[in-house]
Amino acid sequence: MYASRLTQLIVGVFALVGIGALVYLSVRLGNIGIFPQPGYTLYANFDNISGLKTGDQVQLAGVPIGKVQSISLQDNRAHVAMRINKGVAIDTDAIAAIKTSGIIGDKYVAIALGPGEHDLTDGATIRHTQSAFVLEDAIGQLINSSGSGSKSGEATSSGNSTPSTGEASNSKTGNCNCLDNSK
Amino acid sequence: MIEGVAALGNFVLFLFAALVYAIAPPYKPRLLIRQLRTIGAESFFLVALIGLFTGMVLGLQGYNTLRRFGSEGALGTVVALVLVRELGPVLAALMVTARAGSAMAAELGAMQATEQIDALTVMAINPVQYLVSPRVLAGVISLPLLTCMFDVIGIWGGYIIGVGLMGAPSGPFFNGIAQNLGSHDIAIGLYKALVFGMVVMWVCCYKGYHAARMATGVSRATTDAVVLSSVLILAWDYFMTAILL
Repeated sequence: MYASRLTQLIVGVFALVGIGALVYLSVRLGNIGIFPQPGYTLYANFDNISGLKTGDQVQLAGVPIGKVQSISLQDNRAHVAMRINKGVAIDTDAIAAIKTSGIIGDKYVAIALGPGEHDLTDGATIRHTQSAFVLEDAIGQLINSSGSGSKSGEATSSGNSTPSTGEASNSKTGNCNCLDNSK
Repeated sequence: MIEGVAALGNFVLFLFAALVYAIAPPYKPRLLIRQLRTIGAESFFLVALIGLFTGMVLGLQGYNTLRRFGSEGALGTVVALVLVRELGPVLAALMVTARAGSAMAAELGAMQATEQIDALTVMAINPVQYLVSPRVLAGVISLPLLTCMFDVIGIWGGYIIGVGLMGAPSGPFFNGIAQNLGSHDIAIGLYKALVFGMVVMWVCCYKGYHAARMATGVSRATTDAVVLSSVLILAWDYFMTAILL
């Protein structure tokens, strides 16, 4: 009627292997820190983060130095908190840019150091930022500019229909018109 | 009609009784340890084998599909998330049903047929507390552990085939897992395993306990137990995913 010594041993080994598998899964594979990694938090405000998620990498010179901790909306801009590993110094004039690895790959925050004399401390904000490159916007601009080039008559109307493209594209279409007219 | 509703009520009350007697004294740790060995530890090799092959086929299929989109780097993420969230708990539960659940139904069915359960009652031993509660408890404890082993072995199986044999990049395999496998995903898998462990033992013990007292009754109880718990696992899995997603 009693559980034998062997049974107890087998169950003990089973439990240890199971718990070991859980720990391996979450800590080693899932990289879920039970204790927070030593480091400090920096903030940055972006106009557009387009698909950046919490947990995405923060890179300096292509080397992962931290993770995106949280993303929130502040004054209609994206407010991103980043956990930077201990021992990595980032100066006050550094630039934070959102980049993509590959065309449909993951987003990450790339930090480029600037000429700043002091290092940022815990809770500081990176002032210079560069928003994500949005492929759809770029294609839209390309279509607009090429469309206006081929059809000279409708050039001004198509240029006006997208006021967001700004003065640069307007002046470009203007140049195209002049060329077309001269021919 | 009314009999069907009554049978359902009896089915639910059976689980209720098993859970109440599991936490009510007198405690029988030795019975529990014995069942942990039968249900959990002795299922390990089957679960490990199935986990290895499941991971290997995921690595193969995942690689061939992802290569069409040029995203072989996402292989690790695909394999890990599919295993941890879906296939780990479900397949581990099905294997426990096949290995331990069927044996349980046959064992209890034979005890019922040879009036051993009546003998327990005569000896003033509560048969539910003595036979059913340790099994349900052992199922609830074992299945999450087995699921974790299944997940880890499956991920390594996917790695061996996807990276070792097919040549997917090895860096993004584990990087992708580290970035995309969150505590939420692991928790979903563990919740599922907990519930499945209870469902499997509940159904198998119920069917065995209520087997008809003849030779065909035992075989009938075993078949019913395996079919019903497999169906319940897969159906319940859908609803749990819908709720927890």
